[in-house]
Amino acid sequence: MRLALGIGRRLAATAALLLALSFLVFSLLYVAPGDVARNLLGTRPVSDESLAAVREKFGLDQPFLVQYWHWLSGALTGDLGDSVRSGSAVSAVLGQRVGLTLQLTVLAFVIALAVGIPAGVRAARRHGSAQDRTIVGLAVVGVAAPGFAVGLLLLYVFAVMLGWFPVYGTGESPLDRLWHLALPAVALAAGLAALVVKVTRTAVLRELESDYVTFARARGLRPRAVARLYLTNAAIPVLTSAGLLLAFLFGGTILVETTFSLPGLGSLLAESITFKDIPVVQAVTLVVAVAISLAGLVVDLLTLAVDPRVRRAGLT
Amino acid sequence: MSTVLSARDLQVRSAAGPIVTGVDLDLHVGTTLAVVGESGSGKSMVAKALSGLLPRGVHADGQVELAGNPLDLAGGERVWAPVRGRQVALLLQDPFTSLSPVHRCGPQVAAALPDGLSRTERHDRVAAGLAEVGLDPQVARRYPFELSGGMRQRVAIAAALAADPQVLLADEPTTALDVTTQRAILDLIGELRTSRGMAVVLITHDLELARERADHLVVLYAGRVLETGPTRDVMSRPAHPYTRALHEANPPLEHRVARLAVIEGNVPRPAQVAGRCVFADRCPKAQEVCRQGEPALVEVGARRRSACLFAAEELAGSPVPPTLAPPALGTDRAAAVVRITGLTKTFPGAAVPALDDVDVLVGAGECVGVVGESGSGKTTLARCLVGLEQADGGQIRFLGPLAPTGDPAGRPAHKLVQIVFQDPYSALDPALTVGATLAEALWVGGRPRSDVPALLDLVGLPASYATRRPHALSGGERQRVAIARALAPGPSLLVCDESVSALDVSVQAQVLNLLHELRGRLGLSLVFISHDMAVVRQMADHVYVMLRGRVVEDGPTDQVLSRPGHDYTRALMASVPGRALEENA
Amino acid sequence: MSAVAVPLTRPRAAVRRLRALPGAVQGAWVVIGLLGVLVVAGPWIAPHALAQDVLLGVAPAGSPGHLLGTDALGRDVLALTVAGTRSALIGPLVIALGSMGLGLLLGAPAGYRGGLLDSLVGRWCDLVLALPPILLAIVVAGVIGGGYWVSVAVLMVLFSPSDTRMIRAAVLATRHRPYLEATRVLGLSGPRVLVRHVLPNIAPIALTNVFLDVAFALVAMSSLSYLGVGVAPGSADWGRQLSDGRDLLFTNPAASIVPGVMIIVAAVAANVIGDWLADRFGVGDEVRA
Repeated sequence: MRLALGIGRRLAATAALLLALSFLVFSLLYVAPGDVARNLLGTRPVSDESLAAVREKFGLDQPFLVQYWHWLSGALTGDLGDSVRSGSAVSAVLGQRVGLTLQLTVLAFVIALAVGIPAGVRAARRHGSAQDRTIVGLAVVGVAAPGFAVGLLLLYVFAVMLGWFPVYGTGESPLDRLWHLALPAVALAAGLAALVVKVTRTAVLRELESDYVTFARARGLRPRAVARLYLTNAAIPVLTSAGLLLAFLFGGTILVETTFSLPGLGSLLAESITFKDIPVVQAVTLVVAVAISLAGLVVDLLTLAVDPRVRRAGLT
Repeated sequence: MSTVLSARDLQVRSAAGPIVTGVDLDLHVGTTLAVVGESGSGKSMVAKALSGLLPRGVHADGQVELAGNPLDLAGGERVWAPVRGRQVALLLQDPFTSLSPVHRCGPQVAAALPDGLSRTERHDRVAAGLAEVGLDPQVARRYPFELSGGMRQRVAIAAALAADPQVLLADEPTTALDVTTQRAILDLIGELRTSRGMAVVLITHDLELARERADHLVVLYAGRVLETGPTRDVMSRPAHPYTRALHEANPPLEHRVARLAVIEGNVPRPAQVAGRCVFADRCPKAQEVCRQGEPALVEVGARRRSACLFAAEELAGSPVPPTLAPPALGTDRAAAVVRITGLTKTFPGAAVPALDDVDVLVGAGECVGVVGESGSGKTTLARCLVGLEQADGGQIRFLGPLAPTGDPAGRPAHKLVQIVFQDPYSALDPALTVGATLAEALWVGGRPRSDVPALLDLVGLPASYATRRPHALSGGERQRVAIARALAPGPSLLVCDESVSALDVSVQAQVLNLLHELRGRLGLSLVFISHDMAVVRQMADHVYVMLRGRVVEDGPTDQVLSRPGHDYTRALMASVPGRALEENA
Repeated sequence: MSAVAVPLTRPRAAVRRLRALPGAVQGAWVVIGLLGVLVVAGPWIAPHALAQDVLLGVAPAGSPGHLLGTDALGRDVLALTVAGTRSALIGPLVIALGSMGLGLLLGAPAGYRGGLLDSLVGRWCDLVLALPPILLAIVVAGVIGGGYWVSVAVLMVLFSPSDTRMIRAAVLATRHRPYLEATRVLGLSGPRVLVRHVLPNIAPIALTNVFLDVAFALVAMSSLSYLGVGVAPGSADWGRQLSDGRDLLFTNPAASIVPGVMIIVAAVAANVIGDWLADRFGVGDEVRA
């Protein structure tokens, strides 16, 4: 009962947050300098008729909230307006780009977890050793280095100097695609893996210092059994940081896609900003917001499965 | 009697210096040996050294034999892995943290079982283990956070004993528990010792508890053994002034003394007292020779040893009976300073009220004791009294010499009532000097900063302490500063919320004497909140016993403590360590 | 705290203190010091950094007169990198200090007083933190129309929620310490307690996070200029250099590699010092994006 109530409250909070975000995203249209109708016309010839047509189409004469309502109900049914730059439907533009970004981010996420979690656990277990210091050192560099700088270095070393990987392009066959996405994914994963290392190491260290680990050792549990205890406990803070990781991933993909000239959502956003293609900017921002909020929701539900205390207290 | 564990010249060191030096132990099957010491004595390090669980950077040295086989203390996991659990198990102090919070109790108990058991065998072994510690087998399916502290410690004991160790090291196993639960857990450990033919090493700060539970005592101070011997002999005729002083500093439960015996000064760190008798600085009988070298631990009787140069005189001396104070049979409660009527408080989300229709009256110049265990509401009462918490209903009315301030909510003004909290380590702002903290409190009372030295003097601290920061002070000194801060605005009523319970026994007596003295000198009224019946006996004129938010009994202290009217009061009295022995003596 | 103030005041003591530090921290302080010199003396060291030489075009590294070569406009990469230190560091410093200021202003009262103020502040933080700060900064600064100080202001606002949360949590953790409750029993006013008792005890956390914020702001600002949002075309800026130099990877890789390495080195140095302070003050090592 309490649990159902907690989940219900959590769902409502997510919905409220998305509503507030959508409102902010919509108001971007009015934040941009210049006349809204003109901005929406973009490079098309500006005449009184065309301006009037745009005003009519977008209902720009109506009150702000009414416009917002129109935009929101459109967005909910998948109608995100037309791109100023190309004139085609925003949803169609997104559709072309979203696949690549998904592939890139999933690949980077997998690499980051596969590298970051074992490295973080190892650093914590060998706390203070040379291995720990090396891993922490690399993590500090990884967290601090922006994805585009890492990307450029990788591009120079592995594509230009060594010629092992392509400089641009997305590849045709799935295997070719993987080959093309390898460098960008690594550039994106570098910072992410560093974050994973930090989160994991901090979490495992905290658990290793706790009484129950001492007590488990004191009653003769095998190292493997002790590890099972503290790794389960350490999984909770690692899991709850997933939202943070995802935010990092979506922020980084804009820069990495631009660096490697990949036609994904990130480079779409960057181009659209340059061309003041505000409907597309709004749509990409909204999509990212929805993705991150839903991921946060999933993470919270997963903590329920791992942590009996949260299950008992209900979600907060 | 066969020896299961023996240690010769056990040493524990870190890079910063020695922590424990020259400990000898002989542990016999079916007996309990108590290692008694105050904070900084190194008693926990002895337990950790004997289970191979010393923290990183701390090393142990010495000859240890376990069940007849020599044990290499520095041997690392290779040596310790087969020993821990099967031969030696360590039970920790805090049952709230010693079990993994996200695993059920059953698997945690089962984890130490030997391999190769079938699922049903493991299940049965867990059920049997839980039954052995007096728990229902259903507890196996519960999470630790669903259990009370006492139940958790029982689960921990079952887990510690799952691999059938011969030696149980119990490090302050009941310190984190309520007094009535403490006795049950200690009884259980005693029963298991007998039924399993185990040997127990009991690490404790409480000499009276050791006296009640142990066959043999090792008294540790600043990393040194000062005295060892059979409990009965040591307690009846101590061979070291420290043992005697520690015993005398314990407030007696049965009668009220005019003045508590104290050990002057603070508990030192081992490095501060190296190369001489470690107790010399605080010993009333110390001679010049005590400071010239470290006295050896020498044989002073049958299985008895003492590290005092004057052990023979000490043994010959007879205990000086304390001067008794007239029993507290009640004070004049007609002139009340505060009258609390029908106070109720329920915290949001709590199932039971923290305060349920509580009536309390404090007479002018009176010390009112409030006793109870955790969850009794005694701390909530204190917080309502000083305005840190708002009651849901009822009245707190300040009367008589504490002229009412006209606050309709009945909230006390800070000049009327002040409070001293429990934990000395967070009592003072770490960013401010003692002088700045006190000056601010004086400013509240409209007094100048120049009163700081006088205020420090009032609580027995030198004026030079004004420039110190809290981290440079001992626990007792911090608590004195906290008292000075509370007195600065000139309150008429001082609330002491467990104000001495975090202090070492030798220091606790000093602070209790100080409070008693200040009460007489300043005409203060006190509300003294404590879980410790013996302390309340010494301090309070009138006592209120609280249970689950209600006052179940109240009356003049001597009447309530000597002839309790309520079952709960009787249970509290029966739980005080050493009481049974005291009656027989 | 003293170790931070001392290097600026007493050079000899500073050197002694520096030698006692771990190697990485030593290096980080040296890097910060050198960058500080470049910020102050940049215009004297490289007065003609923006001078174009269209005839020369792209010269590879090691060309006569151009140690690191030139970019597409014939500008000397070394001089340009030196001149870019200012825009690379001043903005992030302002962002870090400003966002911590906002964090203290919102987080401390929210944590201390709780109630409506706290939930309002909490909702505001949730809202801003629901999106990656870099993405939001690119979108908001890009749509508004960019410009260096616009970007600085936007990032300052976007960074402040994580500082606010951190300060709020720190204040909340101290709120029920007996020494603070004692001030309430003494009847001291809320603002007085905040300023005199709460803030000094959370100062280490604030200082630590200023350094970590500098590192993140540096990355964020250069990301913006890399995408062409942060700075005007043609000005000296590392992020700008990087995006301009991207097309020159085959002709003069130094044009993009050198500013890229500078960004990494500066951000790592600020991070190392932040982590070291966290360690020193025993501040929880909060991980953030």
